[in-house]
Amino acid sequence: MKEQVSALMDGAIPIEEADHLFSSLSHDGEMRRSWDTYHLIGDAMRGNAILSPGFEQRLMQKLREEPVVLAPKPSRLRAVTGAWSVSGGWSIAASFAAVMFVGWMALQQTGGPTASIELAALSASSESAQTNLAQSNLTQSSPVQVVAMEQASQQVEQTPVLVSELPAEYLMAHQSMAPNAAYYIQPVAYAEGGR
Amino acid sequence: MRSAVPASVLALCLVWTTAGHAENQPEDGWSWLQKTAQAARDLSYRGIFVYQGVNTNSKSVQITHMNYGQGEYARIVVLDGAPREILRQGNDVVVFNAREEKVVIEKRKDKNMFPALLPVDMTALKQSYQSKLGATERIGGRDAQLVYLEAKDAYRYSYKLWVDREYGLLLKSMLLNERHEPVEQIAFSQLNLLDTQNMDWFQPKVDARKPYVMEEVTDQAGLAQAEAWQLGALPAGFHKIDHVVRKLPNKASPVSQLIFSDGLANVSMFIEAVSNPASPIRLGHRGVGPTNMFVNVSNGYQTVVVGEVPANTLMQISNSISFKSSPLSYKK
Repeated sequence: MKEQVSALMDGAIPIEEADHLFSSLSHDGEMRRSWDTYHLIGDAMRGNAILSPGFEQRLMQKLREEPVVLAPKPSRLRAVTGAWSVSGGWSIAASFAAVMFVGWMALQQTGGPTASIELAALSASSESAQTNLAQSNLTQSSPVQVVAMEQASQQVEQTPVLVSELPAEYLMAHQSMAPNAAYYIQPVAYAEGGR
Repeated sequence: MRSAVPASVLALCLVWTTAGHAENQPEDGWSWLQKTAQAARDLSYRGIFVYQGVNTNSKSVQITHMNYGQGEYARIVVLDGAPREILRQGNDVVVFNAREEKVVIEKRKDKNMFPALLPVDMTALKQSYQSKLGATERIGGRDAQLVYLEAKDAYRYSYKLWVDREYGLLLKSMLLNERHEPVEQIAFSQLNLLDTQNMDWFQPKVDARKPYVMEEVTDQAGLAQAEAWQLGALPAGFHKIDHVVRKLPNKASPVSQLIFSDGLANVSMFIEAVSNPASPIRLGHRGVGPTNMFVNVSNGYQTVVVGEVPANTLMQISNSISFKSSPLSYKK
C-alpha cells in the first residue's frame, strides 16, 4: 500500500486508478502519515525546507469532498515499480559476494591511560607563551587532552576557564558543513561526549 | 584500551557468477586511488561495513548503492545503537535520526562517505599527500591492493587503504594520526555486487510509528556584516572553501563559520563576538579520536576551530586570523 502511495506521488499510477488510494488516504491514519512522509522526503531531497503552509489540510479537505466510489472497479493496476525506478542502461558483467572477518583493531587514544587528563594551563598575563604547566587528574570517562593557551601578544582580561567540556553545537555545526566518515555513524556519541 | 579479538568463526564465502574482467591494472598509487574513488560511485553494491573509532563502540552499517548510469542512489543504515539512516540521491543527502518521539530529517552535504572516501578530482590531494603502493593482501577472500595515502607534512593525517584489485571498491580504510597511530578504521564485513535494478529499497524505514519532521534550519545565507577580521597564512595545502553565517543552538547572535580544506581533511572556524567580557571565557584544546578542537580569544572575538586534523594544525589556523578592531559590544 505504501509503495502505491509513493508511486501515486510519482505519477506511476494514473490518477483515475487511484480511487482506493485516495479513500484510504482520507481514512487511514497510517496511510496519511506515509503520504506526508513521502512528500517530506521528496521535499528534503529537492531542498525545499517546508511544504507550503496548510497544504496537507487543503489536500485532505479536497479528499473529504470527493465522493467515495463504492462500486469496485476492475483493478487494472500494473505492477508498481517503485518510487525511483530506473530502467535500461548499464549492467554489471560480473558480480562477487564476499563475507569478511573484520579484524578488531586495538585503537588507542594517545596521551596517557584511560581516565587521565593532561592539563596545561597558562597564566593569562604571562609574557612568555608557555609557562605554568599544571598536571591534574580529573575523573572523566574518556581520555581527553586539554591544553589551554593564550597568545603571548594578547592581553586577557578574564580568567580563562579550561575547556574540560565544550558545547557539542560546534562539533555538530562543523560536521553538518564538512562531515567526515564518522559523522554519519557516530554523531550522537560526539554529542554526548561533548556535553 | 584493547578490544578483545573474537577469534571465532571466520566465514569466507565467495560466489562467482561470471568471471572475466579486463586485466588492466593500474601501476601507481594514484591510479589505484582514482580507480577506487570511481568504483565507489559507479558500481552497484550492497554490503555491511564496520566502523571503529577510539573509545567508541564499533558500529555496523549497511550500505546499498546503485548507479545504472542515471546517477547515484544510496541508502545507509546504521545497524547498532540509535536508529539512523541516510538516503542519498546524487549530491543530495538526507539523514533520518530517530529521536525520542519523532524522526528528524536533516539535509546534509555529500562528502567523504565510505567507501567513497576520496574525491574523484585528486588534484588538490596531490599537493599535500603522496601515495605509495603496498603489498597485495587477502581480505574476505578478495585480493586487495594496499595503498598508502601519506601526509607530506605533520598538518594532516594519513590513510591506509585496501582496494579490491578487480573492481576497485574500497574494502578497508584506516586513518592514522600524526604519530602514525590508528584512530579510525572502516572495513567491509560483507559485500555483494548488485545486478538488480529494483529500487524498492530506496526508502527510509527508521520508525514508521513516529512522525517525520524536518530539522530546524538554522543556516543563514550571506556574509558577515562588516568583516572585522583578516586571514593570514594558513598551514600548507589548506584553503578557505566556504563561509556561512549561521545560528547555533544556545547562541543569541549568529556565528560566522569558515571552512578550510586540503581536499580531504576539513576544518571549521567559528567566529563570534565575546558578548560579555566579564564572563569567563573557555580556552584550550580538546581531542576525541581524530577530531580536535581549539578555542582562543583575541581582541574581543572568540574563535573555535574544529577538525579532523592534528592539534597543531588547528592552532596554526587559529593564529592565522587577526581582528582589526574589537566588536562594538566589547568594552574594556
